[in-house]
Amino acid sequence: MLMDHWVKGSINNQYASVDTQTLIESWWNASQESWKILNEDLALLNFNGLEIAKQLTLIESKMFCSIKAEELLNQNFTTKKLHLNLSPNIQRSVLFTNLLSDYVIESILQPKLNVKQRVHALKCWLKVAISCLYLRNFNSLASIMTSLQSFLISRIAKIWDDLPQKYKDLFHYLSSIIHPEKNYHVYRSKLKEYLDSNLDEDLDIPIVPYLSLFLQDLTFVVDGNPNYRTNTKSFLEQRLINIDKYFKITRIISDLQSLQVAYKDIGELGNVYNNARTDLVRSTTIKKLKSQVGDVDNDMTFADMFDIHGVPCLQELILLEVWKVKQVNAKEEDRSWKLSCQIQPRDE
Amino acid sequence: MSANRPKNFDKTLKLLLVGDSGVGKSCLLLRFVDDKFNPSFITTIGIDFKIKTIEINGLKIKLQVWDTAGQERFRTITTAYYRGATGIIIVFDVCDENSFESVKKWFQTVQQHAKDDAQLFLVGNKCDDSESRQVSTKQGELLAQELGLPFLESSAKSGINVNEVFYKLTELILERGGDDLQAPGVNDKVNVAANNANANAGGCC
Repeated sequence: MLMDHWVKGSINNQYASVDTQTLIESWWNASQESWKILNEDLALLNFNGLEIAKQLTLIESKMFCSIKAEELLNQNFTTKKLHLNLSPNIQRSVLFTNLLSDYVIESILQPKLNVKQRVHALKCWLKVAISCLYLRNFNSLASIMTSLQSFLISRIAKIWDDLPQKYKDLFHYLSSIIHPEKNYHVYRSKLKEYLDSNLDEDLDIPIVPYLSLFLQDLTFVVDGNPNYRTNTKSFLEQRLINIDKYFKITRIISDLQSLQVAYKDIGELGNVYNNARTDLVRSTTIKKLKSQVGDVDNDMTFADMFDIHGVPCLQELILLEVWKVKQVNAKEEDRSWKLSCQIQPRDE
Repeated sequence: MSANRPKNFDKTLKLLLVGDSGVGKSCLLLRFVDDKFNPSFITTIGIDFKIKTIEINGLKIKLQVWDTAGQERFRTITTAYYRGATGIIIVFDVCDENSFESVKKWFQTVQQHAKDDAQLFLVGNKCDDSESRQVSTKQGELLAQELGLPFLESSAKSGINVNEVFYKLTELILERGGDDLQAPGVNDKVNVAANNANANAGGCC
């Protein structure tokens, strides 16, 4: 659709696989531009849910692992400092999260669908979401589930009435994982398991955490604690640096860093990403896991934690599709709200 | 739910703070709940909202205040917080014109995602800083009038009007709400699950 404007070098009418990092950059650049989209059909849900989840995970993991510590300092990631471009990788991740959420909403609310098709789209997303959970991709899981819980969709009774009980149960289960209740208690305890295994047991298992929560914790610590405190023990009333605050900030950032473990891409372009470190981390962790569990015959289970078969063309499609929804939404203000009201008027 | 369980409060209300990043939402919240500015605050696992019980007209009201600080840019994610909120405070920073201009956008989002009978409140924060002020009290009042919202200027730093905002909002909710306010928040898990189960509820719970 975007031809060579999208990825330089993949022209001559021949498809050539492009690595995730290059795709993300092209997608980011194209997202800063405004395009007029003629074909608004969405294609992603024609694919197998697990397969979409796998590629989402590789994309999100790539973005998450690229985040640098300085992007998290001094509230560099906030809207106020956006123009300074101090948090490029966080911005990419935030944009992807928002666009994926918008995509989920659009795919269910888009015009011209009948109820059956909308229910089908909802089911598909639940399958993608549970696959993300299986792959420990909490960020995509959150994007999908918060969209499905959004008032824009939850208010439309017809869709939920026709959803089979099995899927309703799945929806409730998946909603409960990343839920703000008790400060995301369920999610935080899951995350803690991975943190402990990374820090204490030296097992590095790749995951994609829910980035938004790190940013919230940082904001609370930064806003809620003074930079200085007065020394009450001394009559001189000197100001002391509130070192406790900076310990807390350091702790959050080092937690994030210890989770930056890449998945091993065993797909076509695997050799582009997998460096010696990925392999080393993978083999050490699998060895340790084996020794912990005892004698196991299927090391496949453990290898599965690392290995994802990357499909570059599907990743490219995902990025293009969410980009398309961005363009569609930019053209029409409050599009999803209008769509939602078209399906079910406000006072019904 | 055990209706006979003895409680040390009469009602529970869920309040939510929204607004651009950096307008001081979390400071406002911390100031109100702890009644001192910048206590050594720890983001503890298990506490996502701050709770304070206040007394109005002889009623003990338990306020759960939720905050979306740091998540403002995740549009869909933050709307998950709107569920079941009985009062929503839209905050802007009087020293930041952009945050004032965003108020309408927040108002719109709130209208689309919150339940219809949620009571809204507009707050201009950081009013102690007269040197860097960019938005006058008059401008704030005019906007509040246009949107039909009650309005106060506050300062989390000096404590001006912090309590007033929360008390006033609570009074307004009690006035309009009658007696059916008890259910939400008594057990949020049940509340949310129920909300999802019959999503036809159209946002009311």
